[in-house]
Amino acid sequence: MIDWANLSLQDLAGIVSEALKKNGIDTVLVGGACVTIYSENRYQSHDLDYVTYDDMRRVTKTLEQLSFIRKGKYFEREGCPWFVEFVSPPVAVGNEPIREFNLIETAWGTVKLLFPTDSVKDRLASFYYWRDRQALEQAVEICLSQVVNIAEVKRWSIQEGQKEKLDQFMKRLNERKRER
Amino acid sequence: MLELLFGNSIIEEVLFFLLANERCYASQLRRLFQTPIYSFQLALDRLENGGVVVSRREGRTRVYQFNPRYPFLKELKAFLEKAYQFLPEEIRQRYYEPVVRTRPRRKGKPL
Repeated sequence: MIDWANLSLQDLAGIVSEALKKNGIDTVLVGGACVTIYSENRYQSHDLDYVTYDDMRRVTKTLEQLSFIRKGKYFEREGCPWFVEFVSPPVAVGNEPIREFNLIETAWGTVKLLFPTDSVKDRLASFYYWRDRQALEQAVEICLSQVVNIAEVKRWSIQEGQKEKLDQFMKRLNERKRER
Repeated sequence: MLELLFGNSIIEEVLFFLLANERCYASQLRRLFQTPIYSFQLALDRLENGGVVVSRREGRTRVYQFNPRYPFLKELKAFLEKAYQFLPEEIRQRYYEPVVRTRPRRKGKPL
Protein backbone atom coordinates (compact mmCIF):
# COMPACT_ATOMS: atom_id res chain seq x y z
CA MET A 1 0.00 0.00 0.00
CA ILE A 2 1.60 3.29 -1.08
CA ASP A 3 1.44 6.22 1.32
CA TRP A 4 1.19 8.83 -1.45
CA ALA A 5 0.98 11.78 0.93
CA ASN A 6 4.32 10.99 2.55
CA LEU A 7 6.21 9.66 -0.42
CA SER A 8 9.65 11.09 -1.10
CA LEU A 9 10.36 12.46 -4.57
CA GLN A 10 12.92 9.72 -5.13
CA ASP A 11 10.41 7.02 -4.21
CA LEU A 12 7.80 8.56 -6.52
CA ALA A 13 10.40 8.49 -9.29
CA GLY A 14 10.90 4.79 -8.58
CA ILE A 15 7.15 4.10 -8.79
CA VAL A 16 6.62 6.13 -11.96
CA SER A 17 9.76 4.94 -13.76
CA GLU A 18 9.01 1.32 -12.97
CA ALA A 19 5.36 1.55 -14.04
CA LEU A 20 6.34 3.13 -17.36
CA LYS A 21 9.11 0.59 -17.91
CA LYS A 22 6.69 -2.30 -17.30
CA ASN A 23 4.59 -0.88 -20.14
CA GLY A 24 7.60 -0.69 -22.44
CA ILE A 25 8.04 3.07 -22.09
CA ASP A 26 11.62 4.26 -21.76
CA THR A 27 12.13 7.46 -19.75
CA VAL A 28 14.93 9.59 -18.39
CA LEU A 29 14.54 11.69 -15.29
CA VAL A 30 16.00 15.18 -15.79
CA GLY A 31 15.81 18.61 -14.17
CA GLY A 32 15.39 19.54 -10.54
CA ALA A 33 14.51 16.06 -9.30
CA CYS A 34 18.03 14.93 -10.18
CA VAL A 35 19.31 17.77 -8.01
CA THR A 36 17.08 16.62 -5.13
CA ILE A 37 18.43 13.09 -5.44
CA TYR A 38 22.07 14.07 -5.85
CA SER A 39 22.06 16.80 -3.22
CA GLU A 40 20.45 14.37 -0.77
CA ASN A 41 17.42 16.63 -0.39
CA ARG A 42 19.36 19.79 0.39
CA TYR A 43 17.47 21.22 -2.56
CA GLN A 44 13.83 20.18 -2.88
CA SER A 45 12.21 20.09 -6.30
CA HIS A 46 8.42 19.98 -6.50
CA ASP A 47 8.06 17.81 -9.53
CA LEU A 48 9.55 15.03 -11.61
CA ASP A 49 10.64 16.07 -15.10
CA TYR A 50 10.88 13.19 -17.54
CA VAL A 51 11.89 12.93 -21.16
CA THR A 52 10.45 10.18 -23.29
CA TYR A 53 10.35 9.58 -27.03
CA ASP A 54 7.27 7.45 -26.58
CA ASP A 55 3.69 8.35 -27.47
CA MET A 56 2.19 10.53 -24.73
CA ARG A 57 -1.09 8.63 -25.05
CA ARG A 58 0.66 5.50 -23.80
CA VAL A 59 2.31 7.48 -21.02
CA THR A 60 -1.06 8.94 -20.04
CA LYS A 61 -2.69 5.51 -19.99
CA THR A 62 0.06 4.14 -17.73
CA LEU A 63 -0.05 7.03 -15.29
CA GLU A 64 -3.85 6.85 -15.14
CA GLN A 65 -3.38 3.33 -13.77
CA LEU A 66 -1.60 5.03 -10.85
CA SER A 67 -4.51 7.52 -10.60
CA PHE A 68 -2.53 10.40 -12.06
CA ILE A 69 -4.67 12.80 -14.08
CA ARG A 70 -3.20 14.60 -17.05
CA LYS A 71 -3.48 18.38 -17.11
CA GLY A 72 -1.69 19.52 -20.27
CA LYS A 73 1.90 18.41 -19.86
CA TYR A 74 1.55 17.84 -16.10
CA PHE A 75 0.16 14.88 -14.23
CA GLU A 76 -1.14 15.20 -10.73
CA ARG A 77 -2.62 12.76 -8.26
CA GLU A 78 -4.91 13.52 -5.37
CA GLY A 79 -3.03 13.12 -2.12
CA CYS A 80 0.39 13.21 -3.77
CA PRO A 81 2.39 16.39 -3.16
CA TRP A 82 4.48 16.03 -6.33
CA PHE A 83 3.71 16.67 -10.00
CA VAL A 84 5.00 14.64 -12.90
CA GLU A 85 5.85 16.48 -16.11
CA PHE A 86 7.06 15.33 -19.49
CA VAL A 87 9.32 17.81 -21.23
CA SER A 88 10.08 17.76 -24.92
CA PRO A 89 12.94 15.61 -26.11
CA PRO A 90 15.85 15.44 -26.79
CA VAL A 91 17.87 14.89 -23.65
CA ALA A 92 20.59 17.45 -24.16
CA VAL A 93 22.59 20.14 -22.44
CA GLY A 94 23.45 23.04 -24.66
CA ASN A 95 24.26 21.71 -28.09
CA GLU A 96 25.26 18.24 -26.96
CA PRO A 97 23.02 15.19 -26.75
CA ILE A 98 23.28 13.05 -23.64
CA ARG A 99 23.44 9.35 -24.43
CA GLU A 100 24.55 7.70 -21.19
CA PHE A 101 22.51 7.65 -18.07
CA ASN A 102 22.75 6.66 -14.46
CA LEU A 103 20.53 4.02 -12.88
CA ILE A 104 19.57 4.22 -9.24
CA GLU A 105 17.60 1.69 -7.26
CA THR A 106 14.79 2.75 -5.03
CA ALA A 107 12.50 0.63 -2.87
CA TRP A 108 9.92 0.88 -5.66
CA GLY A 109 11.99 0.39 -8.77
CA THR A 110 14.87 1.57 -10.90
CA VAL A 111 15.17 5.17 -12.05
CA LYS A 112 17.11 6.11 -15.17
CA LEU A 113 18.41 9.65 -14.77
CA LEU A 114 21.20 12.06 -15.66
CA PHE A 115 24.63 11.36 -14.27
CA PRO A 116 25.76 13.92 -11.67
CA THR A 117 28.13 15.56 -14.16
CA ASP A 118 25.34 16.08 -16.68
CA SER A 119 23.01 17.32 -13.94
CA VAL A 120 25.65 19.92 -13.04
CA LYS A 121 25.81 20.97 -16.71
CA ASP A 122 22.02 21.15 -16.84
CA ARG A 123 21.94 23.48 -13.82
CA LEU A 124 24.80 25.55 -15.13
CA ALA A 125 22.96 26.00 -18.44
CA SER A 126 20.24 27.83 -16.49
CA PHE A 127 22.87 29.96 -14.77
CA TYR A 128 24.67 30.66 -18.04
CA TYR A 129 21.58 31.56 -20.06
CA TRP A 130 19.18 32.93 -17.44
CA ARG A 131 21.60 34.21 -14.78
CA ASP A 132 19.72 31.88 -12.41
CA ARG A 133 21.74 31.96 -9.19
CA GLN A 134 19.59 29.28 -7.60
CA ALA A 135 20.66 26.96 -10.41
CA LEU A 136 24.30 27.92 -9.76
CA GLU A 137 23.94 26.96 -6.08
CA GLN A 138 22.28 23.68 -7.10
CA ALA A 139 25.21 22.87 -9.39
CA VAL A 140 27.57 23.53 -6.48
CA GLU A 141 25.49 21.32 -4.16
CA ILE A 142 25.75 18.39 -6.56
CA CYS A 143 29.52 18.85 -6.77
CA LEU A 144 29.77 18.80 -2.97
CA SER A 145 27.74 15.59 -2.63
CA GLN A 146 28.68 13.51 -5.67
CA VAL A 147 31.67 12.60 -7.78
CA VAL A 148 31.55 15.07 -10.67
CA ASN A 149 33.92 15.27 -13.63
CA ILE A 150 34.91 18.93 -13.29
CA ALA A 151 37.23 18.74 -16.29
CA GLU A 152 34.24 17.72 -18.40
CA VAL A 153 32.12 20.54 -16.93
CA LYS A 154 34.90 22.97 -17.85
CA ARG A 155 35.24 21.60 -21.37
CA TRP A 156 31.50 21.84 -21.96
CA SER A 157 31.26 25.34 -20.49
CA ILE A 158 34.03 26.66 -22.72
CA GLN A 159 32.41 24.97 -25.71
CA GLU A 160 29.20 26.85 -24.81
CA GLY A 161 31.20 30.09 -24.80
CA GLN A 162 30.71 30.60 -21.07
CA LYS A 163 34.25 30.97 -19.74
CA GLU A 164 33.42 33.99 -17.59
CA LYS A 165 30.44 32.36 -15.89
CA LEU A 166 32.40 29.12 -15.55
CA ASP A 167 34.96 31.10 -13.53
CA GLN A 168 32.14 32.35 -11.29
CA PHE A 169 30.98 28.77 -10.76
CA MET A 170 34.49 27.57 -9.90
CA LYS A 171 34.97 30.47 -7.49
CA ARG A 172 31.69 29.66 -5.75
CA LEU A 173 32.48 25.96 -5.62
CA ASN A 174 35.87 26.62 -4.02
CA GLU A 175 34.29 28.98 -1.48
CA ARG A 176 31.79 26.30 -0.47
CA LYS A 177 34.55 23.68 -0.21
CA ARG A 178 36.53 25.96 2.11
CA GLU A 179 33.44 26.50 4.30
CA ARG A 180 33.17 22.75 4.98
CA MET B 1 7.43 29.60 -48.11
CA LEU B 2 8.11 27.18 -45.25
CA GLU B 3 4.55 26.45 -44.21
CA LEU B 4 4.58 22.93 -45.60
CA LEU B 5 7.62 22.19 -43.48
CA PHE B 6 6.27 23.82 -40.31
CA GLY B 7 2.68 22.71 -40.79
CA ASN B 8 1.25 26.21 -41.09
CA SER B 9 2.13 29.75 -42.09
CA ILE B 10 1.65 31.15 -38.59
CA ILE B 11 4.63 29.22 -37.21
CA GLU B 12 6.72 30.53 -40.10
CA GLU B 13 5.63 34.11 -39.35
CA VAL B 14 6.43 33.75 -35.65
CA LEU B 15 9.87 32.27 -36.28
CA PHE B 16 10.83 34.88 -38.89
CA PHE B 17 9.62 37.63 -36.57
CA LEU B 18 11.71 36.31 -33.69
CA LEU B 19 14.72 35.99 -35.96
CA ALA B 20 14.47 39.63 -36.98
CA ASN B 21 13.28 41.10 -33.66
CA GLU B 22 14.38 38.69 -30.90
CA ARG B 23 11.15 39.11 -28.95
CA CYS B 24 7.44 39.13 -29.67
CA TYR B 25 4.01 39.00 -28.11
CA ALA B 26 0.74 37.77 -29.51
CA SER B 27 -1.13 41.06 -29.85
CA GLN B 28 1.86 42.60 -31.62
CA LEU B 29 1.78 39.84 -34.21
CA ARG B 30 -1.98 40.16 -34.56
CA ARG B 31 -1.63 43.85 -35.41
CA LEU B 32 1.17 43.28 -37.89
CA PHE B 33 -0.27 40.31 -39.73
CA GLN B 34 -3.96 41.19 -39.31
CA THR B 35 -4.64 37.60 -38.25
CA PRO B 36 -6.74 36.55 -35.22
CA ILE B 37 -4.75 36.59 -32.01
CA TYR B 38 -5.84 33.04 -31.18
CA SER B 39 -3.78 31.70 -34.11
CA PHE B 40 -0.63 33.29 -32.72
CA GLN B 41 -1.37 32.21 -29.17
CA LEU B 42 -1.74 28.60 -30.36
CA ALA B 43 1.46 28.80 -32.39
CA LEU B 44 3.42 30.32 -29.50
CA ASP B 45 2.05 27.67 -27.12
CA ARG B 46 3.11 24.96 -29.54
CA LEU B 47 6.62 26.37 -29.90
CA GLU B 48 6.92 26.78 -26.14
CA ASN B 49 5.76 23.22 -25.50
CA GLY B 50 8.41 22.06 -27.93
CA GLY B 51 11.10 24.02 -26.11
CA VAL B 52 11.82 26.25 -29.11
CA VAL B 53 10.73 29.44 -27.36
CA VAL B 54 10.32 30.54 -23.77
CA SER B 55 8.09 33.22 -22.34
CA ARG B 56 7.87 35.47 -19.36
CA ARG B 57 5.37 37.96 -18.10
CA GLU B 58 6.23 41.62 -18.46
CA GLY B 59 3.41 43.51 -16.83
CA ARG B 60 0.26 42.12 -18.39
CA THR B 61 1.99 40.88 -21.52
CA ARG B 62 3.50 37.48 -22.15
CA VAL B 63 6.69 38.06 -24.12
CA TYR B 64 8.36 35.30 -26.12
CA GLN B 65 11.90 34.76 -27.28
CA PHE B 66 13.96 31.91 -28.66
CA ASN B 67 14.97 29.48 -25.95
CA PRO B 68 18.76 29.74 -25.67
CA ARG B 69 18.76 26.20 -24.28
CA TYR B 70 17.01 24.70 -27.32
CA PRO B 71 19.56 22.13 -28.55
CA PHE B 72 18.97 22.91 -32.24
CA LEU B 73 18.77 26.69 -31.93
CA LYS B 74 21.98 27.40 -33.84
CA GLU B 75 20.91 25.17 -36.73
CA LEU B 76 17.33 26.46 -36.69
CA LYS B 77 18.50 30.07 -36.83
CA ALA B 78 20.94 29.26 -39.64
CA PHE B 79 18.09 27.69 -41.60
CA LEU B 80 15.73 30.59 -40.89
CA GLU B 81 18.39 33.14 -41.81
CA LYS B 82 18.93 31.46 -45.16
CA ALA B 83 15.20 31.32 -45.84
CA TYR B 84 14.73 34.92 -44.67
CA GLN B 85 17.10 36.12 -47.37
CA PHE B 86 14.70 34.74 -49.96
CA LEU B 87 11.81 36.84 -48.72
CA PRO B 88 11.04 39.86 -50.91
CA GLU B 89 12.31 43.11 -49.39
CA GLU B 90 8.79 44.47 -49.32
CA ILE B 91 7.58 41.54 -47.16
CA ARG B 92 10.53 41.86 -44.81
CA GLN B 93 9.97 45.54 -44.27
CA ARG B 94 6.22 45.30 -43.94
CA TYR B 95 6.06 42.45 -41.45
CA TYR B 96 9.44 41.71 -39.93
CA GLU B 97 11.35 44.98 -39.97
CA PRO B 98 8.67 47.59 -39.35
CA VAL B 99 10.06 51.08 -38.94
CA VAL B 100 8.95 51.79 -35.38
CA ARG B 101 10.71 53.35 -32.45
CA THR B 102 11.95 50.73 -30.01
CA ARG B 103 14.66 52.68 -28.19
CA PRO B 104 13.73 53.93 -24.73
CA ARG B 105 12.02 57.28 -24.24
CA ARG B 106 12.77 59.06 -20.98
CA LYS B 107 9.79 59.25 -18.68
CA GLY B 108 8.04 62.60 -18.91
CA LYS B 109 9.68 63.62 -22.21
CA PRO B 110 7.03 65.30 -24.38
CA LEU B 111 6.13 63.43 -27.56
